[in-house]
Parts: sequence; structure tokens; C-alpha cells
Amino acid sequence: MPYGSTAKILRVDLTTGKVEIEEFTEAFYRLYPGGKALAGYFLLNEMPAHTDPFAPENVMVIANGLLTGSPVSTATRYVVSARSPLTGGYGESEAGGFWGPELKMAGFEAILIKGKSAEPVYLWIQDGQAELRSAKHLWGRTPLDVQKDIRSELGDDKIRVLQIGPAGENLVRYACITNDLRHFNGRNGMGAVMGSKNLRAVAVRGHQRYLSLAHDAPALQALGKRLSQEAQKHPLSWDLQQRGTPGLVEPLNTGGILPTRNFRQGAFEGVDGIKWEAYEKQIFTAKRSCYACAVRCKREVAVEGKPSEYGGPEYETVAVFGSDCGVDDIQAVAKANELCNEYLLDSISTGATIAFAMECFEHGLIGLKDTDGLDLRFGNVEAMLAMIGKIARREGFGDLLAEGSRHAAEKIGGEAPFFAIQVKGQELPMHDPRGKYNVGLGYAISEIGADHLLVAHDTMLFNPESVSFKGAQGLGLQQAQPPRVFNEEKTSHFYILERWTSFEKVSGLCFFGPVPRSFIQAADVIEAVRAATGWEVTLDELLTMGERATNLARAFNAREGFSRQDDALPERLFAGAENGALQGQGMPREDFEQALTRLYRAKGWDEQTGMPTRERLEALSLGWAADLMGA
Amino acid sequence: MKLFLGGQFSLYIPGHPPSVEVEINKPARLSEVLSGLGIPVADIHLAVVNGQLVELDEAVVSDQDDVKIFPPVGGG
Repeated sequence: MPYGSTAKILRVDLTTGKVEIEEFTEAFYRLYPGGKALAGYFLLNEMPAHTDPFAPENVMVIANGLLTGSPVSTATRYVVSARSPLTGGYGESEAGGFWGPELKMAGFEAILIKGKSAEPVYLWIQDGQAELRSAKHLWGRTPLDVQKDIRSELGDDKIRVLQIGPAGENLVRYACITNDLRHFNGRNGMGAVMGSKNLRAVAVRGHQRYLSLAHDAPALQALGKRLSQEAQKHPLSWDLQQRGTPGLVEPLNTGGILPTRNFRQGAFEGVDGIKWEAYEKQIFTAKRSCYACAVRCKREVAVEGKPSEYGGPEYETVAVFGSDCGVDDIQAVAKANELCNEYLLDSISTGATIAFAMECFEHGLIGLKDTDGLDLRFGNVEAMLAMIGKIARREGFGDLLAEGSRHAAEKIGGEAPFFAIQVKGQELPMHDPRGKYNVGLGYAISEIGADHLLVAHDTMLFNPESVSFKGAQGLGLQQAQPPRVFNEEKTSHFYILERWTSFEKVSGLCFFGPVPRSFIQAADVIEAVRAATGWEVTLDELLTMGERATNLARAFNAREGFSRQDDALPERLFAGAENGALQGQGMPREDFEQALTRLYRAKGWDEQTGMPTRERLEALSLGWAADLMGA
Repeated sequence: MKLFLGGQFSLYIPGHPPSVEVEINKPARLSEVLSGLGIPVADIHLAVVNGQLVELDEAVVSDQDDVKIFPPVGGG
């Protein structure tokens, strides 16, 4: 058995009810060491091309990263992947918390789920064993009740429960998955895929200690201890510990890149009502953490005066239900967050799709008769909150918005597609790329649709003396560059940073762990992998692991017919925002197209189609993927 | 001068307050005032004086000013 791994995968066929355990070899593990790499491998190999995302043939992979569950702060994450019902392409989302480490303690690296159960079920995994159990009594109920009932039924309140909610049951195309009610696999509808399979939850409990698997447990433990001390002192992790992500609202507003009223504006006049000071004063109750993480960036809140069972809103949620919907009330934002988390809807896509509908409403493309009488204008809190429930239940106008902004825009017609701020069908996160050009390039090229965690943001790599740029130098970045420019050096930044972030998704590290966004140096990550696995890895090998995973996801999209034209940004971004520090300054279209071509070249992809070439895939030991995508 | 410490900048001030009063006898360069407090100026991305964005290297401040500093925001 390889070090650092249980080498076991659980295969579940929901149609037949069969559960099997499969073991893999060290050679396989070194090529596909976890998370995104395992997901891409299985999706390409085990799903027929052009499978309907809601068909039983869709394959869902839940996979831990290479370091998930180790005593290294931020190594808590697992990937959920399947063909996405929102984008039609490779779907993926990571979450932290405690569930991934618990799966490892229960003896498995990953779960591969196929088929569809005739009736609602949940999967129960305990110390190397697994079984399917009826979930008929859980269907339609709130995540809080389901978690309580599963724990009580199995007689252990330490069981970690991953589950979908009513939105996933109702096949909302951006339904998400939660674990422990406050960590989320969001974005491109993995919850709906789980719902389509009649799988409500995956409950796990295990007792194997991670360190018993490691190659050099004392070294890994010592590294973990040193890094948790470092997390208390390093300025970037210290900031995350103090305010968490809601601290981002005011600086982004000041820089003119706080998405406001569906990205029409870059600054919000009501920012004082939603910034960290309002959050802290009105709703904040406590700090929380993920498994063995010293950063502690999570926040607990009170909603309508009562402690919420579902965790506090992150920056993304504050911005999307705040400035992007024109709402200046943090308590309304907290309520919207709680509703999304209770229905298990992705909060970014829910808020952004409502903001899209608000702009359509204000332009007269839809009216009261379409919205079931809701006056869906920017800033109308009651209409916004009512819409969330309608989407989750697919009721009235909510049924259309449950399809996502791209589909809804096609149906509404006229100017509506211009107001759908999405890439490949996935709504933009709350970082305006008009102020960070490589973030825009990332939105365009990401295989899952617009994703703000594809590369470290340009603004952190501007000052050569800054703590963030110095961290990035350890990854090979040479020259600091301004955020609002495309050039050769920026392409080089992107190519290095994307492989690094992809490695984070392979290894289970959080975006807030390694440099340049936070405190773990490249050399520490190398040391962690060596101590866990015994492999004498270099930075280059880790970057290649990341690149391999990206190419697998890209090959999946190529097989589904995606091409360069899908790597396109919303038109609105090429025009300037109406207000704020960057008023009137759009992204330069020609420079963007050239940057895309340069990036394809750097990656060894075809410049016309934007897809991986056979030559590149073979160099990454992925010749088999070229056969499958027909390259 | 009233100084709001965005992001990690409270870390450099004893007691880590969210803002601090700084006494300035005569107009001074903002970057020098901040360096004098032990704040790493290279990590400042945005500086705002009395509600207006300013260039950190050029800005001059006096005792009545209201100043905010923020680091770059890198995603999350």
C-alpha cells in the first residue's frame, strides 16, 4: 500500500444497490493522487460521451486530496465532480470542513457513484464498511433535521453528514451539497446530480489515524505544528482569522470592483450597511474552523436574533445578496444566506440569477405577471427573499430561474442575454475582472465556468516587495505586474499559478493555505508531500500533477464539444462600470483575445480550438485521454 | 490623523486596534507616517484620504485628515 493513502475507492451502483471496494496501485496514485485528478480520470473513463447530467449514467466522484486529513492546516478539502447540469461540461466543486478527513479515517480516498436508486437512499460508511439505507423518511426535509435523524438512527452524534437539500431534490441546476450544515460544494449543480440519483446523504465515521498511513509521521506532525504557529503570525492568515472573508467588502468597493447591481456598477452607495463593521456589530457571534486548521476563517451568525444553524455568509454571499442585488442591509443578507443554506442552493448563482432578473425587470423585459406579482427591483429585500424559496421549490417564476441565468435569458429573449453575467452558464463570482485582468482570463478559461479560485488575483502580484509577491516568487514568478494589463509576463504568471491552484485541488489544500494568498510556502508544501508519501517530489512535479488534472477536465469538455468560443466573457465587462474608482474603464477586447491565444500556446493547447493536443496529453502521460476525446 | 487599518494592518500596532489616532505636527508624507508606525508600505494597495483615493507615494497628510489603508484583495 502506498504511504499517505488508504489506496481504497468505494464503488456504488445505485441502480443495483451494489457496493464494492477497489484498491489502486502506487503507480496509479502518483499520476492521479487525489481530488481533481481522480475526478477527471474517472469521469472520462467511466462516463459515456454526451451523457445527460440527470441520467443514471452520469458518474459522480467524491474524492479527497492527497493531503486531506493530514495535520497540515487547510488540508481539509474534497472534490465533488460529475457532468454539470448548469454548464453541460465538467462539473466540480471543493469544500472543507470535517467530512473529507472523516472519510479518510473511515478507510477511503474516494467514492464513485453511478446509476439511480428507485427510492431515496443514503450511504453509510464506517471503518472500511459501507451500505445503502432508505432515506424515504428524510426526503423533503431540512438539512438540520436530516443530520439529526441520521445521527440518532445510527446512534453516534459524531457522524459527519454530507447531504443535499430540497433544491437538489428538485433538480435546481445550481443546487449545492453541504457537510456539517456549514461547508458547501457549490456552483455548478453537484447537488442536483445527487438528487437525480435519489441519493440524499453520505454519512461517515472512522477511527483510523492519518498519521498511521504517513511515510514519516514525526516529520509531518512537526511540520503541522510549525505551520499552525505560522498561521497565527503571518499577516495574510492573521487577517483571515480576524475578519474572515467578509472583510473584503470595503476594500473592493474602494477599488471600484465591488460588483453592484448585476455588475453595472463597481461601487455601492450602501456599502456601510454590508461591510465587516456592520457584519460584526449586527450578526457576528463566533469564529469557527475546519478540521485541524489554525486559520479559523469561518464565521457564525445570528439571523433574526437567533443563532443560525447554517453558518455565516462568506464575502461572496454578502456581495451577491448585498451590492449585486442593491441591498444595503446585512441582516437581509444573513437571511438570504440562511435560506440558501437550508434549501442547499449555491448562494452565488442564486443571488446572481436574481440580480439578472432584477435588471430584466427594470428594463421591462419581464413584468409583474411573469414574476408572480413580485416587484423584482434592485434593493427590494422582500422580493429577493421570496424568490429564493420559489427557485428552490421550482415554483412559478422560480422554475425558470432554477435553470440558471443563461437558460432563463434565452427564454426571456431580447436584451436578456446581455444581462446574464455568466461564462459557460456559470454565474460570475463577486470579483470584477475589470480591475484584475488575469482573474478575467481565469473566468473565461476555467473548465467549470467562471471561477474566482483559478489563479491568485493580480492585485496581490503588483508590488515586488509585498508579502504576497515574495510568496509567489517561491513558485517561480519573476516580475511583479500591474493588475490591469495583459502581457507575456502576465501569461507566465497565469500558467504557473493555475497549475499551482489545480495542485491545491489535487492535494486538498485550501486556497487560503499556500502562497501567494496565504501563509504556507512552496517549500513547506513539498515537505508535506514528501513526509506523507515518501516521494522525493519537486515543485515541478507538483505543478505537473496540477496540470494533468486541468488537462483531464479540459479533455472532458472537448469530448462534449466545447471549444475556444466557450472561453468568452460577458460583453458587459468590455464596457466600463457606471461608477467607482474604475468608472468607464472596460477590459480591452483585443488584448484579452491575444492573452487567451498566448495562454493556449503556453499550455500546449490548440490555438484555434483551445483544446489539449495529443502531443501535450502524451507528454503528461495522458495519451489515453487523447484517444477518448478523439484528438 | 485618524487612521483606519484595513486587512492585516492592525497586526503592526500594539493591541491590534481597528483604527488609531496618529499625532502629526506638520504636513507629512503619508508613506513616511505609515512606515514610522511599522506598517509595511509595500503591502498597501489602496489609500484613501478624506474619502478620496490617493497615490500612496505622493499623498501628504495633516492632523485633521481621515485616512484608510487596505491591502490587495486576493480572492475568497
